[in-house]
Amino acid sequence: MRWFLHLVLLTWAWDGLAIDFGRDIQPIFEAHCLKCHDGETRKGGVALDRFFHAHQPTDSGEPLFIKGNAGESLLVHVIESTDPEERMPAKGEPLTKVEIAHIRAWIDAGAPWPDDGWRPPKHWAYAPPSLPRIPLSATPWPRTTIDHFVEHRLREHGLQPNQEALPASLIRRVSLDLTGLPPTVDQVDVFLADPSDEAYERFVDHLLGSKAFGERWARQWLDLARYADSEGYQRDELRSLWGWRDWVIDALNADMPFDQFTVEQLAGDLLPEATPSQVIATGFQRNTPVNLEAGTDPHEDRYKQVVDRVNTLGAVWLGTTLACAQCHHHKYDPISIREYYELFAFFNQSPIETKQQGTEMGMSNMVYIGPNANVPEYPGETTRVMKTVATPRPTFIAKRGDFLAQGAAVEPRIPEVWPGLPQGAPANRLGLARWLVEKDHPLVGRVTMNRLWAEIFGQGLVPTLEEFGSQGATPTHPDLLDWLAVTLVTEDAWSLKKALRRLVLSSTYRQSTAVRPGAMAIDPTGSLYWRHPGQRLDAETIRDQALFVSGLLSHKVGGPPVYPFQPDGVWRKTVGAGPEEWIQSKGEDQYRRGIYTIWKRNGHYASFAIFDAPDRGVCTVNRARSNTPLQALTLLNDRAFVEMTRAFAQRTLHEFDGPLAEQLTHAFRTVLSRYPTPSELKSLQRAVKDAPNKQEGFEDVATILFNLHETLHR
Amino acid sequence: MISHPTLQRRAFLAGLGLGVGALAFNRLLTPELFGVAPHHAAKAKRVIFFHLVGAPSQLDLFDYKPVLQKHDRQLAPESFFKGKRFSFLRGHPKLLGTTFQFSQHGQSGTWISELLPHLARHADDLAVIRSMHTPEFNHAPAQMVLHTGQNRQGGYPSVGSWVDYGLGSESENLPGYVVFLSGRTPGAGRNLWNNGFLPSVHQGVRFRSQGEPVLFLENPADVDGARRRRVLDQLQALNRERFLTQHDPEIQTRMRQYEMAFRMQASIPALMDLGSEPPSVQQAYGESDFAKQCLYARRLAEAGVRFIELYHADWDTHNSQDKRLRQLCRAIDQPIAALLGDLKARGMLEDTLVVWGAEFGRTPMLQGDESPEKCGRDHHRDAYTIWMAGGGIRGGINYGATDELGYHIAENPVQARDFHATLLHLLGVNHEEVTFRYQGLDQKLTGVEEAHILTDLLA
Repeated sequence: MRWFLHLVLLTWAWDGLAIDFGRDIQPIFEAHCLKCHDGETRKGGVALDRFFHAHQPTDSGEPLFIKGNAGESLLVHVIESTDPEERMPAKGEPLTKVEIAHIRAWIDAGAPWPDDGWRPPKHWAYAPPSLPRIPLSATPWPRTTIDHFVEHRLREHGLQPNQEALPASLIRRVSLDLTGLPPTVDQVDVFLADPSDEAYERFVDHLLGSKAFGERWARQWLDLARYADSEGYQRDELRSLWGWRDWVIDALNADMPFDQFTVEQLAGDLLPEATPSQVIATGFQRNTPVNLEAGTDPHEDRYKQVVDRVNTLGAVWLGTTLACAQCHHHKYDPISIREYYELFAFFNQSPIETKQQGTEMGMSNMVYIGPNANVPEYPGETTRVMKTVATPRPTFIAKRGDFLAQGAAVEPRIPEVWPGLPQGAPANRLGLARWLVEKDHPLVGRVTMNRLWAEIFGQGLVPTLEEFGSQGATPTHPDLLDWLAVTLVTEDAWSLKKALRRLVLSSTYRQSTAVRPGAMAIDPTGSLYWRHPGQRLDAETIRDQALFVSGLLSHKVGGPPVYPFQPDGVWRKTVGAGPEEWIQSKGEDQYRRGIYTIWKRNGHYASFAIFDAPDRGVCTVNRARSNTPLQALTLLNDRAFVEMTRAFAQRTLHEFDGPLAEQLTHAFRTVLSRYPTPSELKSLQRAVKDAPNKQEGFEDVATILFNLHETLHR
Repeated sequence: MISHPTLQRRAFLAGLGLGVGALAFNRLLTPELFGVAPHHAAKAKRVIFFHLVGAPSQLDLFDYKPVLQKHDRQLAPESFFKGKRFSFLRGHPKLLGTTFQFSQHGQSGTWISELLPHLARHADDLAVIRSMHTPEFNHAPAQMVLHTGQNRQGGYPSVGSWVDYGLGSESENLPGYVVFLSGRTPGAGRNLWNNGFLPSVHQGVRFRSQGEPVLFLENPADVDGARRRRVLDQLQALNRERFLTQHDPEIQTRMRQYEMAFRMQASIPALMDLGSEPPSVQQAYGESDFAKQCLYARRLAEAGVRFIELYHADWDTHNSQDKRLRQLCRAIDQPIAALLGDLKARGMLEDTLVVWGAEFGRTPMLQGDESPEKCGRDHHRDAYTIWMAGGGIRGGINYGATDELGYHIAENPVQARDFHATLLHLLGVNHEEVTFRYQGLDQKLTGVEEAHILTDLLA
């Protein structure tokens, strides 16, 4: 009956011409348009097959038609155009005058089109995860729930898992993964004496409890937070934010639950009776690059900083590239430009930062960057934290992403496609943070676990770590991802240590790295996990490992950034603050872990850049792992590495007395944990014999060991 | 066509066939790790690619528009901005004519502005495409489109990586793909010369024109060549043994990179020593850092490097355009022209494809302050100019055109994928057939949509 009414209403008269959508319009679309513009083909973002599609903005952001105004409608424009580049239909004859008149009349009358009720299915990542059924395997291979999921997929592809890694190689791997440092030979010996599952678990717990854990895992968070010791942009002055970096290390070591970790960094300053530590946590948001170049409009720069915070929120917690919606409707995901600025409004209460004279510019709500501007005090220095302006600042849509092209005013609000703010949560950063860590949030648990998984297993269960939207890759193991996400939030109560422990206790993790050509042919990217990928160590770990085995490493935790050796010409002089020249640190500060090396956005520490560390101008979700001749040159010739190599040679020569074979075996085990094979040992012996003297021979052995493929991989 | 599993298998078999010692190792450099042998006779053997980062103004350099001039500072037609997206333009913008003199050059009568007097002398070598366009209007994504065909930041291989994958290096002593930067790193950063999903051996290797040409190129003071070689042989023996039990192709790549590093140590210092160049040649290029890079490019091309890329920064003239363009053009004009002349004199222009381009162009509309000193132009993606020369290109032709105000393309639109298909064609490679299996697809540089070889440009 309703249906019928619809159709009746769709018939009307215009200049004596009665237009009926079904009779007069739809056949035109079907005959001339749908070949390129149905829901599948969708050229130019235009689809005319369904009510819902036709009402979506086109790729240019323009709507296809403006109801009641045929003259201004894109659809009419293209069918009437005489420009062959523009005219539609692109192929074949133009529409007839009568057809065009029908379409014009139809749009002028409000483009009535019966809603067929069809809507796109909800994207998987926007529905909350639930505990899936576990595909239990009857084989003895699975140790943990993870393994049941993995084995199930392997079987579907006719694949078997690899054999287990050698016990010594396994504890090197897990030690590097959890602490960024290899085990000592003594630790390896203890494990070899009892390589049971219980002993392995004890060792994992020991690693999770060490201070090195926080230093290693902070690295990933610092990439996400775009932490650097300089402002970025042209001037790139040094800044002081290491207090926040140390807060991250401490929080990870204390296993602060990820929900608290989230809330304190996004809104610690807004918590009731916030502690100094909770305020320092908000330094997360002060990692944005700041443009202090002369002539920069501080309002515009503040706008850019807020944009950066919104986009970082999208990448880190939501696995959603929000940046597109900054200028136009998100092309593929259902986030509109309005919704973007509604999210923006949550962050829009930050003061303007400038070194220029505030009074001169006639502005209030300004803070100055300088020693007294930022509370609270951190030992000896100040660190930057988040603040809120006294008078709330209204938020407007910035049309086309232009902060001066002010559109409609908006209030803080969560995009429609996601659940709303929790009951009673304030519409500010604190409410937003609490929303993220709601137990049934569709994205945060999945995105977080996917990132941990990728760090451990070399690739994500959703291979596009930064994009869970419809443009992202589909998960290789959707049920496993959901199981991990739900378990993180419920059983593990957001404990990252518990989550990591689950990953490294699995049989999946304990596989050897050997490549089986047959399996490689079926699954070249290893996304079914038939082996451990043995991925390359990251830049900081390559340095830390060499420092550790050479005995040079300083175990000092925290404090201001340090300046280890680097060659001339890399450190970029700027007009800003900070040393003009690279002044190498003295004493143990030359040998600190990589996470403490000064991170200057425009003068990136050379060997880190060569091993793919990002400059942290923006949030980095996934580092590249390249394999280049420059890396070989760095490890062989960078004076910092030469010094470590030589120190290792000295240590091998003097600390371990005994016959040559034993000395060399010990050296090999110090670096790679496992025993050398007889022929490997023979090669090392030959290296010593071929050298003019024992000193040089040991230096050569050290060089070999530091440059082995296996040394650079886990 | 070669798919990923095949590649892996070939790499694996090549590894098993290894003898002992560095000489046998070099067999790994047989083309088996690479995509294809040429499909047809190549006109170009190598590419020198200039990317003017930030987007030079085609309307002040190549695309002469007297009508635009006539309407200087008049309001732009509504169709120029209504429903369009720009980075900075807003309201009702005005048109901006060029303040520079244009004249016709060579037999071909190619229009070039007074800003590029040296290049103008090579007008008859250039194929000027005035009808390039791109879907992106921001620098980083548009740079990615020009280099990878995709707007995604990372994950997709650069055109240089594709060429190196398809053809390999002609030199055993140098990487197949070398990159120079002049000024700031482009917005899209290292993604622009990254290998994406191709084997990592194909990524661009960055050279520097100051200090050590490649960081850490020199051995420590007490390590001579013989000692380094000895240690590398021992290192490779151990890596090889590991490969025989692990079969991981990344081990082979690493072994190759150590050998490449060693050979670079031997070849680069001589190559970068410009002392052997006659003073007349050095003077022709000029003294600047960029001039040196152009001369290095020729020397690298001679030495067999397949793809040499030179990024020149700061062309993003939103404001003070006239002054900045004068400076920028002065910086590049003489060196690039000298390179063309030098290549020609050596008979190398015939088989060296030189490309000059950017991520997009600039608007016929004025941006910012209206004063002649301060005004500029915004990003323009709908029409801009690039040129190619040498390597099988028909010189002295003008391809494509814009409307009389230089806003829209009037004929022969060209997209990055058409340009890529043409470039590969000149190198003797069919763009449909250099593929790599990734994410379930046989990926190619030109992507899934139809790409056209610009046959009008071919000699």
